[in-house]
Parts: sequence; C-alpha cells; structure tokens
Amino acid sequence: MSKEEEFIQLIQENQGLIYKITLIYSKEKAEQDDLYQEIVYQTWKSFDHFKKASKPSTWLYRVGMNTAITHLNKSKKRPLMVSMDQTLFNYSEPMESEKEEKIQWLYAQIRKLSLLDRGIMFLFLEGKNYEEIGQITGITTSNVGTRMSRIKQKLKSEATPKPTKIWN
Amino acid sequence: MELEEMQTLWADLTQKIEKQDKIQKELLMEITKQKFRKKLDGIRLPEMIGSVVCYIYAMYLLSKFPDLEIWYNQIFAMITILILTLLPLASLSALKGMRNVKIEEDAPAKMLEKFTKSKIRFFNVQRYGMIFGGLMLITILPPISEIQGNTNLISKPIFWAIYLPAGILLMYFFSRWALGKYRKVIDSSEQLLSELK
Repeated sequence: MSKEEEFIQLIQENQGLIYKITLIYSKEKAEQDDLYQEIVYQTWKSFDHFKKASKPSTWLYRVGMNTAITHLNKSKKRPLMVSMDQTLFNYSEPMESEKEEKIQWLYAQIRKLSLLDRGIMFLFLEGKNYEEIGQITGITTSNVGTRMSRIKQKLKSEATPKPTKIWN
Repeated sequence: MELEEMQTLWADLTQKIEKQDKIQKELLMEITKQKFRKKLDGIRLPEMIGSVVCYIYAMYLLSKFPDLEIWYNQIFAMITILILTLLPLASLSALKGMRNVKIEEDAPAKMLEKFTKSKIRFFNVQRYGMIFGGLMLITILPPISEIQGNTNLISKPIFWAIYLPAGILLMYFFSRWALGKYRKVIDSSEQLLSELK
C-alpha cells in the first residue's frame, strides 16, 4: 500500500474522531470545516511519525488536539478553501429534538472550558480512563483526576438544558 | 446533567457520526495539497523579503561608513546598522520558534506551553521592534544625508528643531498604538499559561 493510500485509509477510518475534535474546539460551521482541513493537512505533513508511533490512536488524538489548540491561537481566520458540503457533516437522519438540544448544550459547556480541559473532557467522553488521558495529553494521572473534579464542579454549577416550549 | 448522561449522549453522537459517508479520496488529497501550497506562501516570504531589505540597507551604510566625518552621524550610522542587523534576526528566530512546535510529537499540555511561550517571545520581539524601529526614524536620516552630500540640511538647527520632535512624537504614538495591540495578545497568552498550572 502506498503512503497516500495508507493516509487516506487512516483519515477515512478516523474522520468521526477528527469531526468531534472540531465540534468541541470551534462553534461556527466554517471554522469547523477549516479546522478539519487543518487537522487533515497536519496529519499528512507528519504522517511519517505516525508510522513510527507505538500507539497510532494516541498519536492521532495528539495531532488533532494540538492542531486545534494552535489553530485557535491564531488570531486571523483563514478563508475556507475547499467546500466540504457535499461530503461531510450532512446527516440524513436528524436526532430527536430533545437529544439534539442536550448535545448542543453539552458542546456549549465543553467550549467554556480552557483549551486543555476541553481536550481532557473530550477524551473522557471518548471513554478513555485517567491513565490514558494522561498519556495522550502529557499530564500526570493525578493531575487528570484533579482537573476532572474541577470540570465536574464547573459543569454541575451550570444549569441543565431546559426543554424549549413551543407556543401555538 | 450528570457525567454518565453526557457519556451516553456522546456515544449516541459517535454512533451517528460513524454512519456518515466516507470522505472522498479526491477531496481529501485536494484539501491536503491546497493547505500545503498556502502554508509555503504564507509567512516565510514577507519575512524573508523584509530581512533582505534590512540587510541591503545595513550593508550600504556599512560600506559608506568611512565617508562619514561628523561624529554624531557615525554614532547614528552604527545604531542604525545594529538595529537593521539584529531586529530581523530576532524576529525570524522568534517566528521560527513559533512555527517549530511539534504537533506530531509533543503531548498537548507540553505543546500548549511551548507554543504559548514562543508566542509571548514573538510578540515581545515585535514590541521591541516597534520601539527600535521608531528610534531608527531618528538615526537613519542624518548619516544618509551626509553620505548623499546634503549636509546643509542636517547642519541647520531648524532641521533638528522640526525633525527630532516630529520623529519622537511619531515614534511615541506609533509605539503606543502597537504596544496596546501586543499587550492584549501577550495577556491572553499568559492567561493560557496560567491555566496549565
């Protein structure tokens, strides 16, 4: 398999993961698309490191999160270069409105966290344990625990989403 | 909402995302190629052009240095040469530091720390660049006038009476404006660093 084919396979297998990173690190659709493209580009640029990586999933999480962090730090927004409307982010089956509302609330709460805490929360939601989160983010397991307690406190202090009333 | 409920919601979302069509191969490579082209053209070229212009001026002043007879013009020329040489070096090196964060190797916590530190350094260099750039407004003109054989102008007290206050005033307002901008960026970067602790 050529390098290009391997890369395409990696992105296709992990496009959901990349998409979820864009959701927690950016709010606007155009920004999410731009960040998606940036992560794809960074993955291609450092693809040789991926082949050497002992844990490919850890590597991809790192590249995705690091790209999101540096991308958000850049003050200038770059224009979207390739339209992705036909291929990505078009869901044929919409979610139930209540669930959709809760998910939107969840994104909003995560986006309120600091850049690193957003990543920690994302990995937690992805089902990673504290040790794995520590390995991916580069902080100690105990630090992950402390940060998770703070995140829990923050999220608890926020009101849960209220169902929207529709008046006739 | 409890964390367990959040995890269930997230799992639903993941399941839904997994169902979507795979991104097309052609589009994927197009994204990659376009991004690559843009990256190459983006920052490097203007920085390099700016540095080359500075070095050409520095070399010109250096080559004409023996022609300078007035003592303060010699001092001004030396200051100008130093600024023109050191400023692009510092700017390029700070920019290199910012671009050299290892997205593919470092863990996010480490990368965020490195990136934020190099960002602060970059903006500090820009900040001092503004100040020294303003200083150069004053130091570059007298030696250039002497080199071009137009010493009449700089020997007139009226020239200094106008040029010096005007240069200092311009430098003051320009630096104040630029420093205000940079301060905001540095403050937000320092805030990021403090969040890591």
